[in-house]
Amino acid sequence: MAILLGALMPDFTKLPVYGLHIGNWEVIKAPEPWMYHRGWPGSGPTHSLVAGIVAACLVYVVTRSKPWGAGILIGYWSHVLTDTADSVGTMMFFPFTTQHYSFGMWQYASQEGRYGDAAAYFSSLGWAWDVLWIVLVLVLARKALTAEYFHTSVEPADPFWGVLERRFHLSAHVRRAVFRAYMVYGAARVVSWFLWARFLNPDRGVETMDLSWTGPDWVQVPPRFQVASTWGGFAVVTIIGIVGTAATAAVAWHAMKRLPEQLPRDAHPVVGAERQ
Amino acid sequence: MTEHGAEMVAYAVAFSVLVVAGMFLRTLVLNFFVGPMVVVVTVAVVVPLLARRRSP
Repeated sequence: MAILLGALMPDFTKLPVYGLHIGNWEVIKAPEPWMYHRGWPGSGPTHSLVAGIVAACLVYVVTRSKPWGAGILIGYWSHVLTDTADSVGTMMFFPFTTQHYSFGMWQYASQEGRYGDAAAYFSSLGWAWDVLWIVLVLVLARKALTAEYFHTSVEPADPFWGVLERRFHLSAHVRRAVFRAYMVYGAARVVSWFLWARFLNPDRGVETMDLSWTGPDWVQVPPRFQVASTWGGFAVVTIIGIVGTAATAAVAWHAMKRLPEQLPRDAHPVVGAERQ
Repeated sequence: MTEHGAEMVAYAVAFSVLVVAGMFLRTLVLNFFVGPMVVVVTVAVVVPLLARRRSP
Protein backbone atom coordinates (compact mmCIF):
# COMPACT_ATOMS: atom_id res chain seq x y z
CA MET A 1 0.00 0.00 0.00
CA ALA A 2 2.86 2.36 0.81
CA ILE A 3 4.44 1.67 -2.59
CA LEU A 4 1.15 2.53 -4.28
CA LEU A 5 0.75 5.78 -2.35
CA GLY A 6 4.38 6.67 -3.00
CA ALA A 7 3.86 6.11 -6.72
CA LEU A 8 0.89 8.51 -6.69
CA MET A 9 2.59 11.27 -4.67
CA PRO A 10 4.63 13.08 -7.37
CA ASP A 11 1.44 13.95 -9.29
CA PHE A 12 -0.44 15.38 -6.29
CA THR A 13 0.24 18.83 -7.76
CA LYS A 14 -1.02 17.86 -11.23
CA LEU A 15 -4.49 19.43 -11.13
CA PRO A 16 -3.46 22.70 -12.89
CA VAL A 17 -1.81 20.72 -15.70
CA TYR A 18 -5.16 19.91 -17.32
CA GLY A 19 -6.97 22.62 -15.40
CA LEU A 20 -10.12 22.60 -13.32
CA HIS A 21 -13.25 23.83 -15.05
CA ILE A 22 -16.71 24.38 -13.61
CA GLY A 23 -19.00 24.93 -16.56
CA ASN A 24 -17.32 27.59 -18.64
CA TRP A 25 -15.41 28.90 -15.64
CA GLU A 26 -11.74 27.99 -15.69
CA VAL A 27 -10.89 27.79 -12.00
CA ILE A 28 -7.22 26.97 -12.41
CA LYS A 29 -4.99 26.16 -15.38
CA ALA A 30 -1.24 26.25 -15.86
CA PRO A 31 -0.37 28.44 -18.89
CA GLU A 32 2.52 26.14 -19.78
CA PRO A 33 1.53 22.66 -18.58
CA TRP A 34 4.87 21.05 -19.41
CA MET A 35 6.78 23.73 -17.44
CA TYR A 36 4.42 23.60 -14.47
CA HIS A 37 4.35 19.78 -14.37
CA ARG A 38 8.01 18.90 -14.91
CA GLY A 39 9.99 22.13 -15.10
CA TRP A 40 11.57 24.71 -12.86
CA PRO A 41 10.13 27.20 -11.99
CA GLY A 42 7.12 24.95 -11.53
CA SER A 43 6.25 21.80 -9.62
CA GLY A 44 8.91 19.81 -11.48
CA PRO A 45 10.90 19.24 -8.25
CA THR A 46 8.13 16.86 -7.12
CA HIS A 47 9.55 14.56 -9.79
CA SER A 48 12.97 14.24 -8.21
CA LEU A 49 14.71 11.56 -6.16
CA VAL A 50 15.31 13.98 -3.28
CA ALA A 51 11.58 14.71 -3.08
CA GLY A 52 11.06 10.96 -2.66
CA ILE A 53 13.55 10.92 0.23
CA VAL A 54 11.73 13.83 1.88
CA ALA A 55 8.35 12.14 1.46
CA ALA A 56 9.66 8.85 2.87
CA CYS A 57 11.20 10.63 5.87
CA LEU A 58 7.97 12.50 6.62
CA VAL A 59 5.97 9.28 6.48
CA TYR A 60 8.52 7.52 8.68
CA VAL A 61 8.46 10.36 11.23
CA VAL A 62 4.67 10.11 11.45
CA THR A 63 4.32 6.31 11.40
CA ARG A 64 7.73 5.06 12.62
CA SER A 65 7.04 2.15 10.29
CA LYS A 66 10.08 1.02 8.30
CA PRO A 67 7.96 -0.85 5.71
CA TRP A 68 5.97 2.35 5.12
CA GLY A 69 9.05 4.56 4.87
CA ALA A 70 10.70 2.15 2.45
CA GLY A 71 7.46 1.61 0.51
CA ILE A 72 6.90 5.32 -0.01
CA LEU A 73 10.49 5.70 -1.24
CA ILE A 74 10.24 2.76 -3.69
CA GLY A 75 6.89 3.93 -5.07
CA TYR A 76 7.95 7.55 -5.34
CA TRP A 77 11.22 6.72 -7.10
CA SER A 78 9.45 4.34 -9.48
CA HIS A 79 7.28 7.26 -10.65
CA VAL A 80 10.26 9.61 -11.02
CA LEU A 81 12.24 7.01 -12.99
CA THR A 82 9.41 5.84 -15.28
CA ASP A 83 8.45 9.43 -16.15
CA THR A 84 11.88 9.75 -17.76
CA ALA A 85 10.47 7.58 -20.56
CA ASP A 86 8.56 10.47 -22.21
CA SER A 87 10.00 13.37 -24.21
CA VAL A 88 10.09 15.93 -21.36
CA GLY A 89 11.43 13.61 -18.68
CA THR A 90 12.16 14.58 -15.09
CA MET A 91 14.67 16.68 -13.18
CA MET A 92 15.74 13.54 -11.40
CA PHE A 93 18.62 15.12 -9.48
CA PHE A 94 16.98 18.42 -8.53
CA PRO A 95 18.04 20.56 -6.61
CA PHE A 96 21.61 19.69 -7.58
CA THR A 97 20.91 20.18 -11.27
CA THR A 98 17.92 21.19 -13.42
CA GLN A 99 19.07 18.79 -16.14
CA HIS A 100 16.09 16.86 -17.57
CA TYR A 101 16.57 13.12 -18.02
CA SER A 102 14.47 11.73 -20.84
CA PHE A 103 14.47 8.60 -22.99
CA GLY A 104 11.86 10.15 -25.31
CA MET A 105 9.98 6.92 -25.98
CA TRP A 106 6.76 8.87 -26.47
CA GLN A 107 5.81 12.52 -26.81
CA TYR A 108 4.80 14.41 -23.66
CA ALA A 109 1.31 15.69 -24.43
CA SER A 110 -0.44 17.22 -21.41
CA GLN A 111 -0.52 20.51 -23.38
CA GLU A 112 -3.14 18.81 -25.59
CA GLY A 113 -5.59 18.70 -22.66
CA ARG A 114 -6.86 15.65 -20.80
CA TYR A 115 -8.33 13.90 -23.84
CA GLY A 116 -5.61 14.97 -26.23
CA ASP A 117 -3.05 13.63 -23.77
CA ALA A 118 -4.97 10.36 -23.49
CA ALA A 119 -5.29 10.09 -27.26
CA ALA A 120 -1.55 10.71 -27.67
CA TYR A 121 -0.40 8.38 -24.91
CA PHE A 122 -2.65 5.51 -25.94
CA SER A 123 -1.64 5.92 -29.59
CA SER A 124 2.07 5.75 -28.83
CA LEU A 125 4.74 3.54 -27.28
CA GLY A 126 3.33 4.70 -23.94
CA TRP A 127 0.41 2.37 -24.52
CA ALA A 128 2.76 -0.45 -25.50
CA TRP A 129 4.77 0.27 -22.34
CA ASP A 130 1.63 -0.11 -20.18
CA VAL A 131 0.64 -3.33 -21.93
CA LEU A 132 4.16 -4.69 -21.44
CA TRP A 133 3.99 -4.18 -17.67
CA ILE A 134 0.54 -5.77 -17.42
CA VAL A 135 1.76 -8.78 -19.41
CA LEU A 136 4.90 -9.03 -17.26
CA VAL A 137 2.80 -9.08 -14.09
CA LEU A 138 0.41 -11.69 -15.46
CA VAL A 139 3.15 -13.92 -16.90
CA LEU A 140 6.07 -13.52 -14.49
CA ALA A 141 4.53 -12.26 -11.27
CA ARG A 142 1.08 -13.84 -11.27
CA LYS A 143 1.88 -15.34 -7.88
CA ALA A 144 1.94 -11.83 -6.38
CA LEU A 145 -1.80 -11.56 -7.03
CA THR A 146 -2.76 -14.86 -5.39
CA ALA A 147 -4.59 -15.10 -2.08
CA GLU A 148 -1.80 -17.24 -0.63
CA TYR A 149 0.88 -14.66 -1.42
CA PHE A 150 -1.25 -11.86 -0.02
CA HIS A 151 -1.94 -13.65 3.28
CA THR A 152 1.53 -15.13 3.80
CA SER A 153 3.80 -12.37 2.46
CA VAL A 154 1.99 -9.05 2.11
CA GLU A 155 -0.26 -8.93 5.17
CA PRO A 156 2.39 -9.89 7.75
CA ALA A 157 4.81 -7.28 6.37
CA ASP A 158 2.46 -4.28 6.23
CA PRO A 159 0.56 -3.03 9.32
CA PHE A 160 -2.01 -1.36 7.05
CA TRP A 161 -3.81 -4.66 6.47
CA GLY A 162 -4.09 -5.31 10.19
CA VAL A 163 -5.84 -1.94 10.52
CA LEU A 164 -8.35 -2.93 7.84
CA GLU A 165 -9.03 -6.22 9.60
CA ARG A 166 -9.18 -5.15 13.24
CA ARG A 167 -10.47 -1.60 13.04
CA PHE A 168 -12.69 -1.76 9.96
CA HIS A 169 -13.56 -5.48 10.22
CA LEU A 170 -13.01 -6.09 6.52
CA SER A 171 -13.21 -9.76 5.63
CA ALA A 172 -10.38 -11.56 3.85
CA HIS A 173 -11.91 -11.37 0.36
CA VAL A 174 -12.47 -7.60 0.70
CA ARG A 175 -8.90 -7.06 1.91
CA ARG A 176 -7.69 -9.04 -1.08
CA ALA A 177 -9.87 -6.80 -3.27
CA VAL A 178 -8.22 -3.69 -1.81
CA PHE A 179 -4.83 -5.27 -2.55
CA ARG A 180 -5.74 -6.11 -6.15
CA ALA A 181 -7.94 -3.08 -6.88
CA TYR A 182 -5.28 -0.93 -8.53
CA MET A 183 -4.16 -3.75 -10.79
CA VAL A 184 -7.72 -4.31 -12.02
CA TYR A 185 -8.41 -0.57 -12.25
CA GLY A 186 -5.15 0.14 -14.07
CA ALA A 187 -5.63 -2.68 -16.59
CA ALA A 188 -9.23 -1.58 -17.22
CA ARG A 189 -8.11 2.01 -17.81
CA VAL A 190 -5.50 0.90 -20.33
CA VAL A 191 -8.14 -1.05 -22.25
CA SER A 192 -10.86 1.62 -22.05
CA TRP A 193 -8.59 4.54 -23.00
CA PHE A 194 -7.14 2.55 -25.89
CA LEU A 195 -10.63 1.63 -27.17
CA TRP A 196 -11.75 5.25 -26.78
CA ALA A 197 -8.69 6.58 -28.62
CA ARG A 198 -9.10 4.16 -31.51
CA PHE A 199 -12.89 3.92 -31.89
CA LEU A 200 -14.66 6.81 -30.10
CA ASN A 201 -12.28 9.76 -30.19
CA PRO A 202 -13.94 12.29 -32.56
CA ASP A 203 -10.46 13.32 -33.78
CA ARG A 204 -9.23 9.76 -34.38
CA GLY A 205 -8.85 10.49 -38.09
CA VAL A 206 -6.04 12.94 -37.24
CA GLU A 207 -4.89 11.53 -33.91
CA THR A 208 -3.73 8.27 -35.39
CA MET A 209 -1.73 5.38 -33.96
CA ASP A 210 2.00 6.08 -34.12
CA LEU A 211 4.33 3.57 -32.49
CA SER A 212 7.49 5.31 -33.68
CA TRP A 213 10.08 6.51 -31.12
CA THR A 214 8.91 9.85 -29.59
CA GLY A 215 5.59 9.49 -31.37
CA PRO A 216 2.91 10.41 -32.08
CA ASP A 217 4.02 13.06 -34.56
CA TRP A 218 0.71 14.95 -34.46
CA VAL A 219 1.33 16.28 -30.92
CA GLN A 220 2.35 19.91 -30.42
CA VAL A 221 5.96 19.46 -29.28
CA PRO A 222 6.84 21.28 -26.03
CA PRO A 223 10.00 23.44 -26.03
CA ARG A 224 13.25 21.71 -25.18
CA PHE A 225 14.17 21.81 -21.52
CA GLN A 226 17.65 22.23 -20.16
CA VAL A 227 19.90 19.53 -21.44
CA ALA A 228 23.67 19.63 -21.40
CA SER A 229 25.09 20.67 -24.77
CA THR A 230 27.98 18.19 -24.58
CA TRP A 231 28.41 14.68 -23.24
CA GLY A 232 31.10 16.02 -20.91
CA GLY A 233 28.70 18.58 -19.47
CA PHE A 234 26.06 15.91 -19.12
CA ALA A 235 28.48 13.67 -17.23
CA VAL A 236 29.50 16.49 -14.87
CA VAL A 237 25.96 17.51 -13.88
CA THR A 238 24.95 13.86 -13.58
CA ILE A 239 27.84 13.07 -11.24
CA ILE A 240 27.00 16.17 -9.17
CA GLY A 241 23.38 15.01 -9.06
CA ILE A 242 24.25 11.45 -8.05
CA VAL A 243 26.67 12.59 -5.32
CA GLY A 244 24.23 15.20 -3.99
CA THR A 245 21.32 12.78 -3.95
CA ALA A 246 23.42 10.07 -2.30
CA ALA A 247 24.59 12.55 0.36
CA THR A 248 20.99 13.61 1.01
CA ALA A 249 19.97 9.97 1.36
CA ALA A 250 22.84 9.33 3.80
CA VAL A 251 21.95 12.36 5.95
CA ALA A 252 18.28 11.35 5.94
CA TRP A 253 19.16 7.76 6.85
CA HIS A 254 21.23 8.82 9.86
CA ALA A 255 18.60 11.33 10.96
CA MET A 256 15.87 8.67 10.82
CA LYS A 257 18.06 6.18 12.71
CA ARG A 258 18.34 8.67 15.58
CA LEU A 259 14.58 8.79 16.02
CA PRO A 260 13.14 6.46 18.67
CA GLU A 261 11.46 3.47 17.01
CA GLN A 262 8.33 3.83 19.12
CA LEU A 263 5.97 6.78 18.98
CA PRO A 264 5.12 8.60 22.22
CA ARG A 265 2.28 6.89 24.10
CA ASP A 266 -0.21 9.66 23.34
CA ALA A 267 0.44 9.54 19.57
CA HIS A 268 -1.83 7.12 17.75
CA PRO A 269 -1.64 7.55 14.00
CA VAL A 270 -3.62 4.96 12.11
CA VAL A 271 -0.66 2.96 10.93
CA GLY A 272 1.65 3.40 13.89
CA ALA A 273 -0.99 2.38 16.41
CA GLU A 274 -1.31 -1.03 14.80
CA ARG A 275 2.38 -1.67 14.49
CA GLN A 276 3.31 -5.10 15.80
CA MET B 1 -19.01 -22.15 -7.11
CA THR B 2 -15.96 -21.86 -4.90
CA GLU B 3 -15.02 -18.62 -3.15
CA HIS B 4 -12.13 -18.31 -5.61
CA GLY B 5 -14.57 -18.67 -8.51
CA ALA B 6 -16.93 -16.10 -7.00
CA GLU B 7 -14.04 -13.66 -6.61
CA MET B 8 -13.00 -14.16 -10.23
CA VAL B 9 -16.57 -13.44 -11.37
CA ALA B 10 -16.60 -10.29 -9.24
CA TYR B 11 -13.29 -9.08 -10.66
CA ALA B 12 -14.51 -9.77 -14.19
CA VAL B 13 -17.67 -7.75 -13.50
CA ALA B 14 -15.67 -4.86 -12.02
CA PHE B 15 -13.19 -4.92 -14.91
CA SER B 16 -16.00 -4.87 -17.48
CA VAL B 17 -17.82 -2.04 -15.71
CA LEU B 18 -14.64 0.02 -15.57
CA VAL B 19 -13.81 -0.60 -19.23
CA VAL B 20 -17.28 0.29 -20.53
CA ALA B 21 -17.76 3.23 -18.16
CA GLY B 22 -14.26 4.48 -18.92
CA MET B 23 -14.99 4.51 -22.63
CA PHE B 24 -18.20 6.52 -22.39
CA LEU B 25 -18.14 8.62 -19.22
CA ARG B 26 -16.88 12.13 -19.89
CA THR B 27 -16.39 13.10 -16.26
CA LEU B 28 -13.58 12.65 -13.79
CA VAL B 29 -15.62 10.26 -11.68
CA LEU B 30 -13.44 7.24 -12.45
CA ASN B 31 -10.48 8.82 -10.72
CA PHE B 32 -7.67 7.21 -8.76
CA PHE B 33 -9.89 6.84 -5.70
CA VAL B 34 -13.35 6.05 -7.04
CA GLY B 35 -12.09 3.69 -9.75
CA PRO B 36 -10.38 1.22 -7.38
CA MET B 37 -13.33 1.59 -5.00
CA VAL B 38 -15.55 0.24 -7.78
CA VAL B 39 -13.45 -2.94 -7.69
CA VAL B 40 -13.58 -3.23 -3.90
CA VAL B 41 -17.31 -2.58 -3.66
CA THR B 42 -18.08 -4.97 -6.51
CA VAL B 43 -16.11 -7.77 -4.84
CA ALA B 44 -17.63 -6.97 -1.44
CA VAL B 45 -21.16 -7.20 -2.87
CA VAL B 46 -20.89 -9.92 -5.51
CA VAL B 47 -18.89 -12.56 -3.59
CA PRO B 48 -21.42 -12.93 -0.71
CA LEU B 49 -24.29 -12.92 -3.24
CA LEU B 50 -22.77 -15.81 -5.16
CA ALA B 51 -21.93 -17.59 -1.92
CA ARG B 52 -25.56 -17.30 -0.79
CA ARG B 53 -26.75 -18.84 -4.06
CA ARG B 54 -24.28 -21.65 -3.53
CA SER B 55 -25.67 -22.61 -0.10
CA PRO B 56 -29.46 -22.06 0.07
